[in-house]
Amino acid sequence: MTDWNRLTGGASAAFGPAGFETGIRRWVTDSLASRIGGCDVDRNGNVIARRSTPGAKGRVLLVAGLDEPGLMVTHVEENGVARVAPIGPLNAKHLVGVRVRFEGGAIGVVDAEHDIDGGAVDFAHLFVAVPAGTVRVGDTAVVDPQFESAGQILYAANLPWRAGAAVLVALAGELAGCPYDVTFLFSAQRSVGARAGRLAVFGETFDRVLDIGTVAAAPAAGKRKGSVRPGGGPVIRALDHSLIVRPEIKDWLIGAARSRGIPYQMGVKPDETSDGGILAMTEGGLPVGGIDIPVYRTCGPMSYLHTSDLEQTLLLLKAALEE
Amino acid sequence: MLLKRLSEAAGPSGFEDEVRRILYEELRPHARRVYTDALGNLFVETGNPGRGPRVMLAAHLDEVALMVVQIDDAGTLRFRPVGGVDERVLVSKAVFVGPNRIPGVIGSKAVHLQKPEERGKPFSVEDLYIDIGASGREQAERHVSVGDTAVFATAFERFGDGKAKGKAFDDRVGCAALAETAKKSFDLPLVFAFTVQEEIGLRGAGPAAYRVDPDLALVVEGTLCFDVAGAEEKDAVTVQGRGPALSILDRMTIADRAVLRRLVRAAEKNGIPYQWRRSGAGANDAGAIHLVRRGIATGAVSVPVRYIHSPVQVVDLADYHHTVRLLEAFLRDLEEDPQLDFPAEGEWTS
Repeated sequence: MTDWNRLTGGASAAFGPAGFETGIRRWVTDSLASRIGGCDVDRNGNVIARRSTPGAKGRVLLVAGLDEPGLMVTHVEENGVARVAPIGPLNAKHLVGVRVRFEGGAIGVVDAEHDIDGGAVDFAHLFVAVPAGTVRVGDTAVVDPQFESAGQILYAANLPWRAGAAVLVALAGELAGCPYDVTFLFSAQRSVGARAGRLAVFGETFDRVLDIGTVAAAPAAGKRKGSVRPGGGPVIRALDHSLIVRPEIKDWLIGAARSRGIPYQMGVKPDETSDGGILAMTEGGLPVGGIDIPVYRTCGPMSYLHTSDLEQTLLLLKAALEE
Repeated sequence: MLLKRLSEAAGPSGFEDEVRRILYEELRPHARRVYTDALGNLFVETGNPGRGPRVMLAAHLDEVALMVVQIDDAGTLRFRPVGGVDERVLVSKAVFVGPNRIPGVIGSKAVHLQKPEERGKPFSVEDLYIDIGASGREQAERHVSVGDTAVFATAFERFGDGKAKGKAFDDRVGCAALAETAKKSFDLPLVFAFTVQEEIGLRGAGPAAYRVDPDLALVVEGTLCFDVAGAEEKDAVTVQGRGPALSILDRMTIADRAVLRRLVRAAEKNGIPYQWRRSGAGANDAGAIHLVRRGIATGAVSVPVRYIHSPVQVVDLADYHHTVRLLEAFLRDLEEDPQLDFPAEGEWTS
């Protein structure tokens, strides 16, 4: 069984806000080297790995994101205080008091001006307290991931953005018996609206595309009617902001899960744009489905997931690719 | 001055004909090839097609404007904004309506009829109308149709310490800077793309880039500037007099570091002042261009424009001239060293 603690911890610790995926790209390329042989990085920062099968039954594209939301320094005041703009979906009101980590290693603490009189906090009020001289305009930071494990529960700030990549990396080493040509795409700039992934496969066609991500889960079973929960198994996506999954793709995944006794949940994430959704509409269009790992996201910058969902997602993918 | 002619021309999104015609006439003698596409984008090809890289320089033709949506019985015109117009600044402004430039004034309820609570609130577009002096609907309809557009009737004028005021500097400063550059000779294949419908969602630039299929693109824009009395440096975005602003991040684009490095190198090698565009807000055609085909390395250079999207905007002409210099320096640098490097891991420039 995959050491999910080590794999997810490695992905979580790697630095990589959208457009600045340096660390996570290195983690993915290093991790793929021992599993699938090699990979390419395109000029947009996507990582692409291909595995060919003689007499393949068809072509499958598997996509997961590389990046996570972050902050960019837009102004540095004389006392060293840095003003920042968000890169991707970060909420200013959740950042006050949060520890952030810059690409160069500097640590900062986010604070807000105290003269906002109870009004809504936005990025105009936020600043990052950092030692003077440590950051410059254009530098980027992420919420310090603070990865930790407690039994089968993994905690980190960036799990919603890294769990998919961890599962695809694990899958890359377990494709024996797969009758398809498989292309792995680890996409850059996913968190800012799935911008770069589509560029990596421009002009290519695939028989099936699976977008691997995460979905917001309720903290425990029964907490909210209709919601998915950590530990309940992979979530077969019905729709996201950019995608309505066609029945035959869902049936393919449901059939694979049932045939192997893999627990699964059905889910939607109407607020998130995925690479899969963009790919479904690009050029001539592609048949796209999605599998999401349930992640509980707190109101603040912390999340957790259940390692059994990572394992079951991996098993579901293997099962689907052996159908 | 070309900037004056461009500024005073009417070019609402989708109605860019007047601006396109000026540029067509101006640049035809300097071009290898001039053509338009189905959307109305104007392409001017110059330079040496046998060399590389193929560079697309883009500026948008259109401006924020108004569209007539109803003609009242009284002969006044109800309208809606086309693009991001600040409704609070519209009242009592002079406009030209339709292709025949019918003069009009944006009117509102008279101050003596306003209730005290109304006086404290800005007018919304529903409260406003355009008065073209018509005595009734019938007379108005002889001059104006629903669907006609209106632009601000603002004359271009130099004033102050090297400043100019006028309308539509976003993005006629970019159009003028591109036109000046297109008249120069370069040993590179250059395509100057004057794009349509930027102000309503970057609609023209993507198809333009798809057609041109360049190796790299540079967008030239007018951008936010709030450097006036009472403004804090952190909120200014750009400051007039500090030169062209280089984009690092906006709502639609994370800057391509390879292009950014080359812009900085060109500026520093030639002693051209530059500044960072210090905000994640706003967007420009780079947002559409960089996502075309397999992705296009795209940069954005902007002239700071005070009171952008309003009836009267202000630019510093030195910033404009430094932008023109930077475009030439960037292209000369590419002539000498055409190889664009992949962004080095973790590298940034400041």
